[in-house]
Amino acid sequence: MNYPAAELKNLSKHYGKLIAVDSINISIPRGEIFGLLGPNGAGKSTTLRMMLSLIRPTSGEIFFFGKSLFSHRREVLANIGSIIEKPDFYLYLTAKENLWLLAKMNGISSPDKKIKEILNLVGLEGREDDKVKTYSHGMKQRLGIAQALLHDPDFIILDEPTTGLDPQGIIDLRYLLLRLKNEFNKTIALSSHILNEVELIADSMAIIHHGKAVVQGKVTELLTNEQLIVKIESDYTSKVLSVLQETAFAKQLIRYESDAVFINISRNKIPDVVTLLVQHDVPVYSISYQRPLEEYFLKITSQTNR
Amino acid sequence: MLRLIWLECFKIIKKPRSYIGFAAITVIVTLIQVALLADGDEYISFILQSLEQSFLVEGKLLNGYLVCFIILQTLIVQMPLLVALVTGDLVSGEAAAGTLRLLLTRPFSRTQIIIAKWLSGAIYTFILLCWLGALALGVSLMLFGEGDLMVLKNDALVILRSNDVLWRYITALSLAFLSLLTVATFSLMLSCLSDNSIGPIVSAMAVIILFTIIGSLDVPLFDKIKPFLFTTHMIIWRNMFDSPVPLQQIIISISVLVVHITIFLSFSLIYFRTKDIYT
Repeated sequence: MNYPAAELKNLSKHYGKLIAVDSINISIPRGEIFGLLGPNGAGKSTTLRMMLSLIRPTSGEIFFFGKSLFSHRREVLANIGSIIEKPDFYLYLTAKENLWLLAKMNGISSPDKKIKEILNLVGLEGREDDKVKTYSHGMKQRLGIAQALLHDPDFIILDEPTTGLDPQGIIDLRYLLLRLKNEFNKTIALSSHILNEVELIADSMAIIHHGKAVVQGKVTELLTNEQLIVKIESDYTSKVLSVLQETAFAKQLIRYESDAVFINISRNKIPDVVTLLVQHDVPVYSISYQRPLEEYFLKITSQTNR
Repeated sequence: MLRLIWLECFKIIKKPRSYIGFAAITVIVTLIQVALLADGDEYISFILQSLEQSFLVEGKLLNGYLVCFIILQTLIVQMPLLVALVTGDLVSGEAAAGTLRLLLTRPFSRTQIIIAKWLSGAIYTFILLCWLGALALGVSLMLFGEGDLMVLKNDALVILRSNDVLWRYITALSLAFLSLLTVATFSLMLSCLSDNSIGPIVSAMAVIILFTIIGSLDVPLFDKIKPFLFTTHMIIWRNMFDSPVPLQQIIISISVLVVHITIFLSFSLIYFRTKDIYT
């Protein structure tokens, strides 16, 4: 059977009266990047830790590729790579020694070639013989990704993977994750507080709030009908306004400035606006919009706060 | 499992803290040997002052066997600390550093991880004791030569012929290993309970000091519990220098220590198997 990459069924974690995770049901499709979103304390990290058997659930089940984590723990964990919270290593060992140790734990008998490849992949070549205690946070983050990929797992769990990375590092990581998905068919579950990052790379997502999965599904489907604030940049704002006011978009006008007009429309209406302005020969510099996930996230979490 | 034990040993080998014990033993043993080389005869005369009125003492009293006995008597207080310094850090040190997450997301059961850590701690303890034996006995014999061993006890003077001593030392060091393994297992258990590195080491020492004080106080209230304290049985190695060797007493002490090791290790396994990892 073609099982999902991961399934969480009625997963709960209680600490006495406090319910950290409340009967979560999540299905993560194979070969996708899955974003787990939620405000601080929502239960994201607890969920990810339960998926790695670091925390024992109060109830519920976790399956990876159809196999129960609890009854096939060793087999399942052998096929998962992860970074949880922050990448920590044996500081008294070099990067190479750390990877060697972890590779051996994963049963890789001659890991030297693999270690070299993976260090090249994350851009740490030339620093492999330095003790990890001399590494910056960004370098440790790269090394964390290296250890997560070292044993070639099919499922990768990343908790806030962009934390501490510089802008170039974030871009590199984004391309690396997309490459892992597209070229190597890896399934990646990541949590992040940088919503734009999730929106850029995730295929599916779930929003956890107060321990419950309040929303989940394909990112494009969830966001398609969301109203965006679209900015039309032009030196001819009066012309833009007059064109829009003659159409149904008149009701969507929010405000205008000397060089821009703002309207509130869904993403799939943007081409209609472009066509309209072109037909009326209005010079436009750009049409842009705020990433919709941010709006969507705030809407969902504020709804469930009530 | 063997791979995991080797990897745990690799970590101990690479950790600078592991060498503190070896350095401390080397310094202490060397200091005692140098001091006895310089002023040993005076020291022996001082000790024998009371005996010389009743006995005629002849021969080379200050020999390698006696020096080794003096060293072991002196170091018995420090050895548990040196062992706990490493074994008390085996789990909690990883929890504090965050590497426990790395370890527990590998394809090993938690039982295997604790057993591997315990065995690597046992190997470290054994090597540390071998180092002590090599320095205290081997170097002392080279520096001071062989001779009969005179052991002054509270209620007796025991003189052992030189050809009757070596096996006693080997057995005494084996019994000392069992004692230190009890300390190692106890500190490993405390290490499982804690998420900081220093707590288990300090706690292990505090308990050993407390039990030792209880054991040394001549209070009837404590007499009933003394036989059950593992510290009471940690000095069984000294019994090897009695004549005849009190075999029954040694067997009882070995049994008590083995029971303690079993309880400490079982508790570690049960607790760690269900522990949630937040660090």
